[in-house]
Amino acid sequence: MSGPCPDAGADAGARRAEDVVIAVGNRFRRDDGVGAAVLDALRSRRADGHPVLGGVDLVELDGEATRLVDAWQGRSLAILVDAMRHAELRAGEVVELHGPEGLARPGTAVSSHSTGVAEAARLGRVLGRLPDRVVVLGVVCADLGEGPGLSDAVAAAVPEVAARVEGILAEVRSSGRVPG
Amino acid sequence: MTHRSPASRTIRVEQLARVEGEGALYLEIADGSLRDVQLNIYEPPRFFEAFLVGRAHTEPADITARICGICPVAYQMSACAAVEDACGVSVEGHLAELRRLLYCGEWIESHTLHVSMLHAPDFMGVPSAIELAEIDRPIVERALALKKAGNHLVEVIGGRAIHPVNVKVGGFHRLPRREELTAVLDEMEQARANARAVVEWVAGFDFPEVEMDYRFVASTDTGHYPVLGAGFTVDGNGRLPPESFLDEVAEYQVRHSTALHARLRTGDGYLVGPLARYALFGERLHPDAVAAAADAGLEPVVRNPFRSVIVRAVEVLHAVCCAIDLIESWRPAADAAAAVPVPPPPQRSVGHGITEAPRGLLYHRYEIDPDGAIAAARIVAPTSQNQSTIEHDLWHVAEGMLAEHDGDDSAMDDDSLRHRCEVAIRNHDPCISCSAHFLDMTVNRVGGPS
Repeated sequence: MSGPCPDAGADAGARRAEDVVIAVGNRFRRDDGVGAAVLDALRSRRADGHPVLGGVDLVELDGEATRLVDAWQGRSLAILVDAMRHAELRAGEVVELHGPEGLARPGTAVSSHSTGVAEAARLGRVLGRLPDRVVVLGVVCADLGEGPGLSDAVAAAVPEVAARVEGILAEVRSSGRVPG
Repeated sequence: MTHRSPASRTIRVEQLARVEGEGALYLEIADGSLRDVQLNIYEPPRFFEAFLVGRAHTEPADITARICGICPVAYQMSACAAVEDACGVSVEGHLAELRRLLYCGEWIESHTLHVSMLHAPDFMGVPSAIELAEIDRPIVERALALKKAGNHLVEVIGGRAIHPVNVKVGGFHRLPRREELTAVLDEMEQARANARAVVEWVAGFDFPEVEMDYRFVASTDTGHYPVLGAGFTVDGNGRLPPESFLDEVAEYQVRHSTALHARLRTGDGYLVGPLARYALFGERLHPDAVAAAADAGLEPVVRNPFRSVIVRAVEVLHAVCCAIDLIESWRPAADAAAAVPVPPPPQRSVGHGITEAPRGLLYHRYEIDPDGAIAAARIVAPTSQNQSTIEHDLWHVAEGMLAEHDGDDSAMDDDSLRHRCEVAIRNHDPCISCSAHFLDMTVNRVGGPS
């Protein structure tokens, strides 16, 4: 193995990009790995030469609040991709939230292992460490069991989510506004 | 939610904030006297020791790292030590120094998370670090910078902040270049200043007056404040070799907990972790940390578990100072190897590894066959060793609060009791099984005033 120590947390780059796409979750908890799968798809698209993905940091995190704040602070745009539960939607459907205002939920954080995007948003707001724009793409999940691999419905959603990420990046860069 | 009845009273805490692990607390009070205290751990078993059987001897470092996301380095280091012991290999010199440096990073980030984000809110009268940031933003900013420095160090050496990928039996997959290490020195110098400030801050907290008669157990690390273990000691009575650990310590099952308890062969519970290390080897702390401990008014042996937050803060400063010294002095030869070979043993062999996780002594034992397959595995985590002591602390705390009310527990504020019990648990920074969870507290009052 040569070169810098391998870092699965962020694509190596000399400078921190203005925009970041953050996959939140665990590849080894089935559909909780949907964010990582989307990042894999984006990396493939970037390797194929998709221009909008140039200059974007792709970061994979477990969702711990302080690491999220660290990853998005100072960014112009942060797009988060995360698995979510939803009582009314089917597995594979995608919910788009615009923040930081749309990310907060009531209640106080519990253990350090259950902090996540909402707590990161609260912490970021208190510390003045929020990106200019935050978009969360929540993919409704079916299976959060142990082991790698996505359920069929969630796996089928990955290309759509990757395309949506590209669309958001393109729109923000051309108009300065998040679409929708 | 609290409701009161003539015969019994129940307090239910649906979620315990700021601990790692799943458990419930049960108090039984009869006629105003505490009858029973149980810390019920109902986290399901995770079977690491079982599924390690049959794996290659090169795999425990990566597999056991997944036991914990906050202290994966500890599992990697104890696993490597045990495998290397079984294979008759010793890792020394620049590789041992690099392991020590990697461990510094973990101590910094793990302890800082607990001290400033999980434990300090108890003493500041706020429910979480977010509310703490609302009343004193610089404190949380400082904690985040410290934690980031620790994570960064782990990332530079280990390749990744969580579950490092650069560790292997025999050493590392790749040595960092010197410039990669020196690039973190500025951050570490700032971390030194931050760590000193944290010690000063936590030393000013108000602490309940509590004195516990602990039996202390810690690794022995020749010439060092314990991190990598050459053995272990009980109450400082000589060094015992790692292979005698299971002769000195017995794990046992209790009905109310899926987590094993542990006791010395004398039958006593014991304590591992910062209080044990500090009591037994405090004089070996980095001079800056020794000075900070003195300025904080720390006694040579701390037996008040609420003051563990100061000891933990001192250990952060120690780890930062050691990291700076190690980086400045680490100059391996140009052709230095990243690892020493670790071939399987010629016959089935047993190896033992002891290192000091942030929460305390972590013991691994492996039996390895000549084909390199793991034939048996045993892991004794620090938090499981501390379970009975935590329970004992809870008993002491609850009894103390009852005594304050002269046994008339109907006048007791159950919220205060619940909070004091939660803090008593957080004093020991439990990582009950490294997953997110809840504490239910049930108080069953039998008889007593209506």
